[in-house]
Amino acid sequence: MKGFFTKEQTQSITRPDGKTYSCASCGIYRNSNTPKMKAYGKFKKGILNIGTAPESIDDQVGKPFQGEAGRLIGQELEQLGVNLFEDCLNTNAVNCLPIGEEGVSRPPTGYEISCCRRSVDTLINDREPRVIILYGAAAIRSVLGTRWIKERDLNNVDLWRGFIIPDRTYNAWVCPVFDPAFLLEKDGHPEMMAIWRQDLKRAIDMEGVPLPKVEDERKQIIVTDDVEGVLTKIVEDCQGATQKHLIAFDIETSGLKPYDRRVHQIACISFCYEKGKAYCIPGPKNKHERALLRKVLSNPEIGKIAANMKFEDTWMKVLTHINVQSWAWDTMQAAHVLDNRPGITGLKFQSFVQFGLVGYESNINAYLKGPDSNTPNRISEVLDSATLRRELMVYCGIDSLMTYQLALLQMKQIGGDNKWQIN
Amino acid sequence: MKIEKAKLINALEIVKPGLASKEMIEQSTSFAFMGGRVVTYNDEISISHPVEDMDITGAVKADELYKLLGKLKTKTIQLVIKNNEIRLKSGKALAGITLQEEIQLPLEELGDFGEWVPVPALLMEALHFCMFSASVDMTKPVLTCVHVSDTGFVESCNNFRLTRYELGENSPVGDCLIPVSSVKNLVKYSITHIAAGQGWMHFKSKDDTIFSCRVFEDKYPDVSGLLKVKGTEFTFPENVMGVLDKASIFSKRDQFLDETVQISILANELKVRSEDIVGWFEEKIEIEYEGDDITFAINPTFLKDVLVKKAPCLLSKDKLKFKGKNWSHVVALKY
Repeated sequence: MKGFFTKEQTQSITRPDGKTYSCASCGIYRNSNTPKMKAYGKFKKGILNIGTAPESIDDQVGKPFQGEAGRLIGQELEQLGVNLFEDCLNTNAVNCLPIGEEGVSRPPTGYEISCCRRSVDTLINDREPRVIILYGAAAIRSVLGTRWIKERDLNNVDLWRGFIIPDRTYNAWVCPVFDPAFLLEKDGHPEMMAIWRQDLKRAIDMEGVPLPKVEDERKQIIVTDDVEGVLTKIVEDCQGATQKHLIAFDIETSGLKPYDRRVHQIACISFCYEKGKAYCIPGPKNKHERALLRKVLSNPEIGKIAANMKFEDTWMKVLTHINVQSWAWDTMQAAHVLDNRPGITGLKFQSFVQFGLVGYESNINAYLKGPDSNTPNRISEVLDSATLRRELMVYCGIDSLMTYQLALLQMKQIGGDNKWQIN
Repeated sequence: MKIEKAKLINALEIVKPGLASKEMIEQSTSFAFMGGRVVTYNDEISISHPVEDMDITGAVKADELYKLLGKLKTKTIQLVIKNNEIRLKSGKALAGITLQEEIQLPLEELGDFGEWVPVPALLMEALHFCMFSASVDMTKPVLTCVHVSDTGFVESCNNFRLTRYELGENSPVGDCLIPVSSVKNLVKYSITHIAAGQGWMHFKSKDDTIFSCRVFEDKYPDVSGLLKVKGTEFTFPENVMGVLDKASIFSKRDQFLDETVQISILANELKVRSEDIVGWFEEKIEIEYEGDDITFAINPTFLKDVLVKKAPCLLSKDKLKFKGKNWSHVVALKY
């Protein structure tokens, strides 16, 4: 039985698993000269720098960013016309010096970061920075850790660095970059330094740039069982145009591979062909609905967009015998063309780093994972419950909406001739 | 110094809920005596209570002190501090327990208490009533709290049932989310005043006990829409109270808030069932009912409380709602 609320609505930012994360339970303040170090800087340009933890020298002086890593940041920011202590506010993911068994400083643990998250969260909410620069994995974990559910991603700075995230929670540009301590360890490796400088510049350039205004994506999804109405409207809207229309579509299915047709099904399909609106309808149930769907998907005048088009193409072919015509864009491939780092091409990741939308899958995710690629997932349970079914269709609709928005952004970034009509 | 044993035991019992089960934090399994009060702190709650005639400063292992006091025969005990020990003399018995003179409890975590204001008249009753509906599932942290709304009501929800209790006046300390694990201890005290701290809420009783508990700094989901239930009225038979008494024998759990009995409303019969690791109980009662079969789980203590209040019950397709004078309780049937 599904409850009243979505998982997202019941989560806590400061106490993600309900446990107490406090200075008392963390305890590292007891060994610090400057426990619970205060953020420091005049903050004239509204830039918040979040490092890992105080260095020994910071602990002695009582201010963050006094050590070698702080100096490196200061020098680089100076080149960009920003003074570290005049224009920025500076703090760390952990505000006490973590000391290891041999009495030397060590990186903070995940637990210590969680214990200190409340102070970081409070600082951001109180001071309302316009740009937040996250130096390294600890800062990434502190600021993004309660929202990005893939735990292993949080230790991977290389995955996040360089993205300028329009963070809706903090209403600020969140910019992860390498930890300067890591660069110092590498003796200022020239390529890494170049990447770091470039990332820092991109972050600083966002100062004064307003965050894009967004409307709640859920409200942009039209969920309906009127399969005929929606498919007919799409064909009508896309016909007779001088240029080919682009349409993003997405399906929710009972598994990863469709080849066992006895057990698999397409639960719903969503379409987006203009900004701010997406439709989601149930998967086709009869010949008539399949014929209408074919009119859209096999129509060479309508360019198709998907996030991982191989998936949509295969499922359509195997389960509905529809050959999707006129594939125009795959956001996964385009994301790879634009940036060939592994692990960044998925729609959820891209939605977060490009548009600041995160966690919209959390209510439905558990039902979409099967034990293996051939065995059905739990989507049938979803379809048995009116509330969950609607939730699935909204989720599917947001997928299309984000796929469309992402494709348009990527087209702009990649450039070239545009033969598509974009609404 | 001479101490009245019963008074000291009473003070220790009052602050005992603030002890930690394991000493993850220094002295969190000790009673700390300071400034004429005994204090406990376990990082989730902290309780302090005056101890008359005990002018000592230091922390004593709680378990040993409490057990020893319970076994001493005399009404008064002689108490002496000597060689880092607290020595207790009762008749011919003499005992020494290590006294850590330096208080290491992180009481600075409690921060500034803010201003004490009188607690709303119905707040404690509301907290008691609502705690049964809060969740114990830590994967939904916000629902493990009881929500005191700044607009004058208390509510809780475990995602399948929810309770709202109108206070009839606004909360003087704003909106707050108190963990139900703290509420179940808090409701045992006669609270008269409340103060809002930073990340903590403080309560004072008429006996000058101060109960401080951490609060969640999150937003509680809006449950208003869920309280709207349209349906047919259902009356529980009077003899269901006796059946619930029997059923609650087999509904026991480690935490009383986890106890449930299963109620099934079937064609012309109401079935009450409970089970635990020891055994199970089931009893059917004849009723006049011709609607859809309905089954739900509910805390038996809470249900009895609701039935005593003779609140009308509404049944819809997916919800059941009890509506009292200033409270509502909704149970999800099929969602």
